[in-house]
Amino acid sequence: MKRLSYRKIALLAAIVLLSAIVAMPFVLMLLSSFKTMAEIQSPVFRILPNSFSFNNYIEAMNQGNWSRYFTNSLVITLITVSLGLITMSMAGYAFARLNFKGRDLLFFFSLIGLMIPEQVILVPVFIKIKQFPLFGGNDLWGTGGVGMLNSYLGLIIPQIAHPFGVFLFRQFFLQFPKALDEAAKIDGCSRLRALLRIYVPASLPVFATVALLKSIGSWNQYTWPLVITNDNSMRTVQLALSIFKTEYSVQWNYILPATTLIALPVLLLFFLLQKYYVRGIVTSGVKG
Amino acid sequence: MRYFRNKSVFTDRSGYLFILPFYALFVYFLLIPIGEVIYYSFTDFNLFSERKLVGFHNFNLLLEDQVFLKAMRNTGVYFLFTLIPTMALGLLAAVLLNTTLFRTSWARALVFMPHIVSMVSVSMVWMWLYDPTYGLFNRVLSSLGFDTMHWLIDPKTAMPSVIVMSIWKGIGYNMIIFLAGLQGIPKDYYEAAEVDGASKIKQFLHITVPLLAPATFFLFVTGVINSFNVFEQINVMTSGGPVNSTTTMVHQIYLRAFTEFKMGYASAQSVTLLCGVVLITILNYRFGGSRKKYGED
Amino acid sequence: MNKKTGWLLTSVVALSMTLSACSGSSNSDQLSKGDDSGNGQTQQKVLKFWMRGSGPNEALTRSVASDIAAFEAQNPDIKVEIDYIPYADVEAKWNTAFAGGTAPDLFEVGIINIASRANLEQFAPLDDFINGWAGKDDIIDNIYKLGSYKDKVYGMGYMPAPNVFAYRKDYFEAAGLDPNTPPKNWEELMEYSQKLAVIENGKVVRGGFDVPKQNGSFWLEIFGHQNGSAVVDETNEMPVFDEPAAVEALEFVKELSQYSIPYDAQKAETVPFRLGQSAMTYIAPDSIGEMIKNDPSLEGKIGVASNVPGKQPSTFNGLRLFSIASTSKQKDEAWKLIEFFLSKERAELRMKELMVPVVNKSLSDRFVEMDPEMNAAIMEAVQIGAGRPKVTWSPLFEKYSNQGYEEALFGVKPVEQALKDAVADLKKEIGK
Repeated sequence: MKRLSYRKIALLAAIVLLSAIVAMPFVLMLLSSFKTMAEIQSPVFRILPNSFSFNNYIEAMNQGNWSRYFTNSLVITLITVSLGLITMSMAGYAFARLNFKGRDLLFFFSLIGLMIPEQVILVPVFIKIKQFPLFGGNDLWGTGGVGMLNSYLGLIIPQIAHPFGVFLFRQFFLQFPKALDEAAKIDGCSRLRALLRIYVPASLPVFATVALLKSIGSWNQYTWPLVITNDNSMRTVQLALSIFKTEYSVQWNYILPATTLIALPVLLLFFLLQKYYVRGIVTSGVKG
Repeated sequence: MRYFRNKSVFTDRSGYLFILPFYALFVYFLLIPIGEVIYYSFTDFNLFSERKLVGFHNFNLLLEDQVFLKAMRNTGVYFLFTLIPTMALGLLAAVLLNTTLFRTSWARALVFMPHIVSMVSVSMVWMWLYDPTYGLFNRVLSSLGFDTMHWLIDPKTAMPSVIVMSIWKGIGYNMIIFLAGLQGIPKDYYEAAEVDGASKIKQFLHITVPLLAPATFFLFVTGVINSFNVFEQINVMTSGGPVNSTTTMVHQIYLRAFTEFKMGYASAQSVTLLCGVVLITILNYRFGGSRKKYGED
Repeated sequence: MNKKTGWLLTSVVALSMTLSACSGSSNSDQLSKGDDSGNGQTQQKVLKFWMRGSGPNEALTRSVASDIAAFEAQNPDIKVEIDYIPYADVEAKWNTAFAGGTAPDLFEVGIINIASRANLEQFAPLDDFINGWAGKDDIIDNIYKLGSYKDKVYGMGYMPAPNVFAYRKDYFEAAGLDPNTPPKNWEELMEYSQKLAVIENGKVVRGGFDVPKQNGSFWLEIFGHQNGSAVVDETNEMPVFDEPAAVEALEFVKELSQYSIPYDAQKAETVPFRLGQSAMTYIAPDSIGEMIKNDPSLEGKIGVASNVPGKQPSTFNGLRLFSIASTSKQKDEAWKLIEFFLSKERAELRMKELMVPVVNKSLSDRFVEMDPEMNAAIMEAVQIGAGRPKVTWSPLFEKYSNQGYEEALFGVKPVEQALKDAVADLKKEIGK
């Protein structure tokens, strides 16, 4: 028998209100993505489009090589996140649970990487990518070729160098009680096995979070792919959006559908990862 | 690897191996470039030709740069009025949506959507919302009988408009981190408190908030950094105006470096920005405390 | 290390290496092609060309792309790789390319880029190429001047982009004004603007003449020139937009702004005229074409004139040019492409397809014939128009003129004070 308690209703109302306020611009965006340009710019504002035809979507996707752009973004994001999860969880674990000389200092230095905006180091990093030894025709000293420019690696590597994930992992690995490490030691577990067998399974929400946030960061990158790629075939989806910005106008009737489509894969990922946000996983294994 | 029961012996030398893959890349692609930028700040580098060392000349210019000082003020205002509301609302959303009474994945997705879409796209949509004639906000205002506003073209409302948009965009991200943190709090704690007769609010204040400290710290530190580095929405929505009311430090750096080719000067600005952020982060460390352990006071 | 982890790591690394190798192959192709050290075979030369624009959905870029296809057909040993750079990203991309040594051979540029890039020695002087060119006399003389810096030509103009004065004939009629007589001078401009503006509850709902509130440097230039001020003294490289004639011009603009909806001139799509929210403005002809395309009912309702003169006629006259990178190893081939673009045949095709003026003297009359009302106005605008100031500190000029403009229009300072301060700040920064 369901008892509709007062609290339940209040909670539901709060949730609905919050979601509505936040979603409003997107609902608008979505509805407008079906409107023709004349409708969008008409002086009379109508919330609903005249018809829900997918014309805009089809026309937008026919301009430029969108399957290639999506593939590019997908590959780059996938590899960035996979490699990143490994290196960052290892580093975060070390900073949180292991004891070695200079640990805190090293961690603090890595935070500096968080603090610098990308525009500031754009040129030096660009040169580093171009002069990366032994890639793209470069010799041992990094001269002669184009290094990792205009390649997937050039877009992936700088992202893995970023300390964001490390910081997040560290914060969450700190939450575990010291007793856990001691228990593992007693069982004869090496540090690595402790990480893999104990911490990782107990931190799935964090892994999901880092995976999600890193994916979004990678998917939404603009400035970096802009300067690294030269070929139309290497464009990512964000860069490709500029196809719809002409010298004098913004083609809203194409940008809105394109933006919607671009947001879908990440939204899908979000739903897929929801199951890791399940309570109670951490409680096991901590007691006794 | 031998394990001693004494506390202060640094014995986990494997730690270096653990951080190596990340740290090597980090040093090469982040730390060294930052060092180069610091070096540039003492030169008159203009991106292309030979550079000359000019000592502290750039920094002296900074002190007289009215526009940059304005940018610093704007950045401070942005930081103050964006970060706290965003975190508070994010926490509220996380707590609301942590319930098992309903299926909340859809609500979570909706609140998180703004973070998923790129800042550039979001800025464009909001520019459209703020449009004086066609934008939704003005239409609503006029239909309710109020005066319409020139949101982004009025120096008095430009920055607040950008702030509102940024808060809206940041709530979902804060919610997600808080959610992950909330998931890590064992249900037993709440049950025990319930048994002891503690009210929901008391539970929130004495269980939830302290145990969320690592998440809060993380969000605050990264939030400070992101606030001080705000750039994209300014560049797209207002290009720093009107009358420099929305220009921020990174916006100034970008203009100097890329449209005026004054890389040396821009680097000096960057160094100043970096020092400020480092300072605040150190303060955070002192007062925030990052190595709190739980269950063993 | 755990076996499973080991495998996982190896496979991920292997995967990424293969992927980079796949995309890396395009790099090595570029390398071998770009390095035309003639190893016996007839190797294709690859010309890299960066065009400003968003891509093939703009009429201009399509036209240039078809020119390139025709060029390649005529010159099978040259392949042209074209990349599109969105206007907003031009500086960032060019700067990283030059800093990193990956600049292309050929650029499509605007006047504002000429002085600064020539000064940085990034563009190559074209005088030798021009002197050896058969078609050089067919080009309007002013075009060479506009593309020069310190007496050397660094950019070859190929398409003038003037702003014309446009007005809504239907709004004129409704307000009782003759739809075929645009205002003839500043007094009439003000008068018409007052008549055409629709004001409700103290707010301008439909403007008379567009006056931007933000980023209005263009308006300062146009009205300043019309009032007899040079705005920037190019010979002595000094800003002079605080002189009386310029102050007077800006005060006139400020008065006009009462009858306009405020907007940010940098956001071209918010210009009130484009949205039907004003009756008059200065605008580029292709913009008018786009307006009509989006709303065919506007056909015939938009009238044009070259400008509304003050003490003298003037308007903004942009120019699109081609420049060759000084680092290019294929300058001859790049020049060949430029000659091709500017040849009478291609220019005529471009003119007919895009309805834009060209720089070839022999085609001017034909151009006017195509659409007498519009094109006569355009050609006149080309002749009386001035471009953005050609000084090495152009971006700084834009920054400070905008500052002075905005401070004046927002009432932060009186007009004369705003301009004086702006010029003083600008002089300080450029070291004068």
